[in-house]
Amino acid sequence: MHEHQFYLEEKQKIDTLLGNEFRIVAINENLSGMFVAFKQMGDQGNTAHATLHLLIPETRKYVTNLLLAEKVDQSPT
Amino acid sequence: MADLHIDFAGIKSKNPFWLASGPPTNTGYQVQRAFDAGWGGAVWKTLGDPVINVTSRFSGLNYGGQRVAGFNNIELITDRPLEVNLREIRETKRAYPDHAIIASLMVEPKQEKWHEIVKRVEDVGVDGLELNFGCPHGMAERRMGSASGQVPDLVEKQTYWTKEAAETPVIVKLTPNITDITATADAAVQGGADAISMINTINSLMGVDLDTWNTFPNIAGKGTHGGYSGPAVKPIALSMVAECATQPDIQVPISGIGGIENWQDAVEFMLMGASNVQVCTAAMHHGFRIVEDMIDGLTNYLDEKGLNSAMDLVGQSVSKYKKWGDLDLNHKRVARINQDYCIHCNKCHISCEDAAHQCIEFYTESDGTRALKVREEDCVGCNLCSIVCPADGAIEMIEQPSDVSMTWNERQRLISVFGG
Repeated sequence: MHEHQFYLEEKQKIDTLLGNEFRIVAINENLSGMFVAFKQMGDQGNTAHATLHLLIPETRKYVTNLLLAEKVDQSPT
Repeated sequence: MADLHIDFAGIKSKNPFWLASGPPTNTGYQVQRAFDAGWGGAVWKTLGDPVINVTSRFSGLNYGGQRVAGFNNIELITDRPLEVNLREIRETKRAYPDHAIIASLMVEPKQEKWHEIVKRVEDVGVDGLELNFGCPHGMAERRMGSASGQVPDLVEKQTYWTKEAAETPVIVKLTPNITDITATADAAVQGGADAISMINTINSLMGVDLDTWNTFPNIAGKGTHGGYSGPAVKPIALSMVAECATQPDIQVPISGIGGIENWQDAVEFMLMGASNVQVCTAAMHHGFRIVEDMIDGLTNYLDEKGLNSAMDLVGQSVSKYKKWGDLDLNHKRVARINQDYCIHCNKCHISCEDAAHQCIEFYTESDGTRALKVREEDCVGCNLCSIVCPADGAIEMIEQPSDVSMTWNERQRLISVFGG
């Protein structure tokens, strides 16, 4: 499988979590790639956690672009 | 018509093209011949205690069809007495008052030695001084040349001693045989240098003869390391000019040297911060009259760009030279093959398969012929295919700019908030 396919798979996992109201709460980059921790806050105060291990550079870039977009959205206009 | 005159740290010259210190500026005869050809200035071959040179001094690196892609020399500074050189400098300056003559100097790192030679050289009317802290061969074994130029304290001290005695502008010529040229450039500035020039030659051994096992060049079977120059060193020189030009603490004019052999090379150096350029190897290869094309080419280029003066070029590309961490990670570039020009040599496919990202693949046209195309989503835009492609226009690199830029440094700041 070509690397772009791996990217699409990893991106899909991220988008699915974000689509289910998960938010990125921690990032750890090391020799093995990027570990992104997600947290979901339920309506009843319950929480759910998920972690993705991202290998593909394009996906790791995608994650930081998400953070950048979020930062831009939160900036005072 | 654009004005080619330059003012380099107070040294006026009718064009930015100077001969660099070296074999072409060994005598008054040569320098006068160069001025007749059109060179705006010349840095006289390095003066100092006269040496004795060996025979067999040069060797050339021929690469593919190009002769002298690189050039190696083990010639030392002038082997003629100072008085002879000074007499010829005086004669040349009298005959060519509108041309810049700069004396290259190299003496032992002693204050009185620098004072003495500066006074004697300035007495004959030179327009400036260039301190040779760069030659990597021979003289370095005597604590001069690059042996001095690799030690920032010695660069600063000797520049300071020179400035104590000098009345003309002092240019410090830097060695590239150092990890960070900005360290010695800064030392020169601290010592009071009016300008810096770079690069001197790069330490090198040209080769070994497979039959005799002798080095190139060799003297009775024995060789030594020399100074490397010529077109092969241009990217190294240009990078060092850029490194210095982008340093806020190095606010003195830069004379660009290293592999320059035509007006295009000169423009590149000036755009990257050089106020003029010096040429040696190209003049040795092609003769002094190469300057005619350099003058014509630069004049036409300036006219086409609508610029009035060669000085308008100086430093225009400096702001485009960044640290890697300040480059945009989101900017995308992909290769695209133009079938009208492709000669089906498959070099792009092989290079991409073996050394890049395996994204150039075969497909079959409707008429049954096989061709290559780029799987753009996997292309990282590395340029390798377009570099190895022998057919002009067969591979185009397509820019796909992003709406939002994000540099590595910005990215690291972003993820640091999340503990990354």
